[in-house]
Amino acid sequence: MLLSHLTRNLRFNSGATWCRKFSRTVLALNDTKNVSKYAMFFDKRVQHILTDITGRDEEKIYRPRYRDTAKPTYRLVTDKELEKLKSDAEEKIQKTLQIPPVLDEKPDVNVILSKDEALAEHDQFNYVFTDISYNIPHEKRTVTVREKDGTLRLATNDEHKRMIQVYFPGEGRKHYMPNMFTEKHLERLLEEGEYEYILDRACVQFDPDETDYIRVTRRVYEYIADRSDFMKLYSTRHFGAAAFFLTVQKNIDSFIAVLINSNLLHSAKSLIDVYYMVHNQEQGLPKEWSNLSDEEAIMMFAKQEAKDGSRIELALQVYKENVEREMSS
Amino acid sequence: MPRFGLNVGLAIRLARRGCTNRPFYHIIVQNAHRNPDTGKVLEEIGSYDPMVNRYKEKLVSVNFDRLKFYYASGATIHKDVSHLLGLSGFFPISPKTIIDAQRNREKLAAGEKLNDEPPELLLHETLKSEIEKKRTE
Amino acid sequence: MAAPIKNVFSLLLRRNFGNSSINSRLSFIASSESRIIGNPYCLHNLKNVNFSQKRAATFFNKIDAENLWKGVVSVSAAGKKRGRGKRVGRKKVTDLNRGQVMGVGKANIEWPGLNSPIMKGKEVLRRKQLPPNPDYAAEIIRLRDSMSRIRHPGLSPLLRGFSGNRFPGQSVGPPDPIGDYSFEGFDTIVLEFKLVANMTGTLGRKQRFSAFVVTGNKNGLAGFGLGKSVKGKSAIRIAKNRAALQLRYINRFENHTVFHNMFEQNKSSKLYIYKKEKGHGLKCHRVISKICNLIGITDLHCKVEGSSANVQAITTAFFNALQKQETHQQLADRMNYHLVEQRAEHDWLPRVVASPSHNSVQEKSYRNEEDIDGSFERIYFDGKVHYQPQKRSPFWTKLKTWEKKCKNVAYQRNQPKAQILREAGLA
Repeated sequence: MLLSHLTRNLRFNSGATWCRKFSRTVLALNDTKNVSKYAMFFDKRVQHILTDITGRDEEKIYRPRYRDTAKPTYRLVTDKELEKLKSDAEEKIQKTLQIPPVLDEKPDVNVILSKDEALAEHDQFNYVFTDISYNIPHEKRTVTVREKDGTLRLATNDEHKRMIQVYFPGEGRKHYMPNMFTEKHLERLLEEGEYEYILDRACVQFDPDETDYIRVTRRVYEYIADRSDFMKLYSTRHFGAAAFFLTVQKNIDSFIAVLINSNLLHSAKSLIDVYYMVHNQEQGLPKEWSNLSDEEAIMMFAKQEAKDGSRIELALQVYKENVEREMSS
Repeated sequence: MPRFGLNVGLAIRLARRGCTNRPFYHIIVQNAHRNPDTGKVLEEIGSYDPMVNRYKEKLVSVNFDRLKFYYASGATIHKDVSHLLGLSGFFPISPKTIIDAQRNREKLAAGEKLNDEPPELLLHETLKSEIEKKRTE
Repeated sequence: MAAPIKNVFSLLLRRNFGNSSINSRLSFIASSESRIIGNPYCLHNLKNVNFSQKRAATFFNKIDAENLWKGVVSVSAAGKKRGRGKRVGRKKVTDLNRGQVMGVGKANIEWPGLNSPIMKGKEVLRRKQLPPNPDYAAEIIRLRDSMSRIRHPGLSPLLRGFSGNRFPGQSVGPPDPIGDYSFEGFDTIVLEFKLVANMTGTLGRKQRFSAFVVTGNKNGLAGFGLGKSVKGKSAIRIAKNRAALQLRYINRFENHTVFHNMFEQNKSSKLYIYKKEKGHGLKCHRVISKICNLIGITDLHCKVEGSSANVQAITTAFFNALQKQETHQQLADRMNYHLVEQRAEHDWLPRVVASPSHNSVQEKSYRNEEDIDGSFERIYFDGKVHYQPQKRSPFWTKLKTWEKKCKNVAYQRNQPKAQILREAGLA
């Protein structure tokens, strides 16, 4: 019963609203001097590349999901109607494939509004006040805390999130962090290979700039990178996010090798584009980059930038041999 | 001080809406002559949970937009509500709060205990630890 | 030395009681007293003796065992006439010595030479008291009980058929092999088993058994047959083998249901068959459910209207309906439209199941929603709708007490759910 309850409530947060919400905060960050490399996530070219390499594996997109059973519907349609249906479906697919943002941790709030010594020991406990007026975006809601010693301060991120969940509960989101995100259970799930389930549920439970979200998702991405298990995320919304995170971490050698093994050379080259955009912001792409073929570009990256270039070169060599064998046969 | 405005007869007060041994309050707007617990309510503009949660907090929520409207149009505010609003920083601190604080400090200095001690163990925490025990076994 | 004293005493007593058995009886009392006092036959120690009368001739030693058992087991002549003592509850003669072994008894003692070897290696074993065996008595009683009850070779509830120990609904195994072909993986289920009779000039009323069975391999191949014979079992055999000769292949949608909803009628049995999603199960007449099991259909809904007692008509209608099915490709070819499928588990994303293979697609759009009889759901029903009587609420929901109860338990309505969440640490 519990499982069905959980799966029923596992809906996705709309990615579009996220992008709108968090690109604003990142723009604000841009003004300051130390710009985070994660800010490049909202760069249009990067977004384009990441959505491009996500892939459209029909079988993966049409994989069965947990839903309440319902009988299938059938319709007889003309060519025109079929096109309309397909374009509608495309919109739906795009929505489900929207990449959850990869962000820095939200800076903690430490604003003291007033200190009143006459109020010390007014109560045994802290009071938390939440403004529940209508038409205020949740991130702008004032939540204040009156402490035992009479200090009035703004709520911390954690408190703020909790209060929003108390008064405006999000669908599928639990008041307390589910146990599966604790270290012990997370490792077990990772061993079982339930990456997508973890990531999907993290999207529901947390905000993308939350400490726990960052801890969970990065652990998953690193685990995948260790096992080179990337293709499990192929054609899901998390593929681009994993790629971007590992690019920022300069840990894409295994990713590129896997892409080459799966005959996705162009995706590999695009990912290297992102790598240069993130890490060589001033110099930009290397010279004559656009004239290079996919293989040449990857080779160049393997020699110049990669930590484990031999691995990429080996994958390329295997790929070339395969192509030659196919040509001859 | 006489008050003027649209809603002079209105009062903003706490109404007990919990059950036995579990108090919970709504901050309500109603005609001043009505009973807060049983009488007709014009609008609920907030809530107050006097029992601490597992983070040792007492939660108060107020729809400040509506509160401003009713206050501006002449509603009187009950002292319990003004105590809470004073703590929230919306109103000046209520004298009651300051007197309470003063008394509490004196009590503590004399080595006495305060009236409302925290509940020893919260139900869900005990349950949780039991579940954890079973799991480890 | 003991004998004379005993005799004197017994003589004394014999005069009073005049009972011949007192002799041995007395010896017992005397010896029991002696154990306490130490001096065995001292008369003055027998001052406070309790004497009780005992008759040796009883019901038990007057009548022998055979007659005793007869009294328990037999049924009177009048009872036999009424058919008593034939089935369950009939008592049987029990061998009370069964389970008892020489040397084994209540006291768990090892007697070398009787119930254990005398020598162990070179050592001579001695009598030994073992720890008590508490199950000994219970085991003997169990053995006795097991003898006295009549056992029925019971079928497991899943194999029992529609009702009781009768044939309809029961499985009777695969058909007999024909030549080299043995019907592996086949199973047969009896759908109808009854007595039929006709009048003949010479014999008068002539009765035979009629068996109607369906056989199938649970993977699309199935057939049904009717057999009659004077003997029930041979009727089933004839029917089974006849069914094996009439096998037909039934096309299924993704090996779990039918291709589309349909209507079929045979005599006055009308079937409304509905295609269902995976996991729905079989919700239909028991006969159709058994047939589906043998064909390999797992999800179906069927409403039988008119005669739902005519098994043969229902079976015929169901098989006819399945044979008349149209695949999605055939439908698309006939109508010249694309057929698009949408499923919940795919988030209702559309998928083209079939497109016309010969002609071009029609340009005028098909009436899907506007005309309810034109939708895929009703396209094969030919305007028929199965009768759905209005469900009546039970009488007690109209009582005042019911209303009262609802009000009383209203506050508990979320408790079970909340408790689960609480125990899982989620609330």
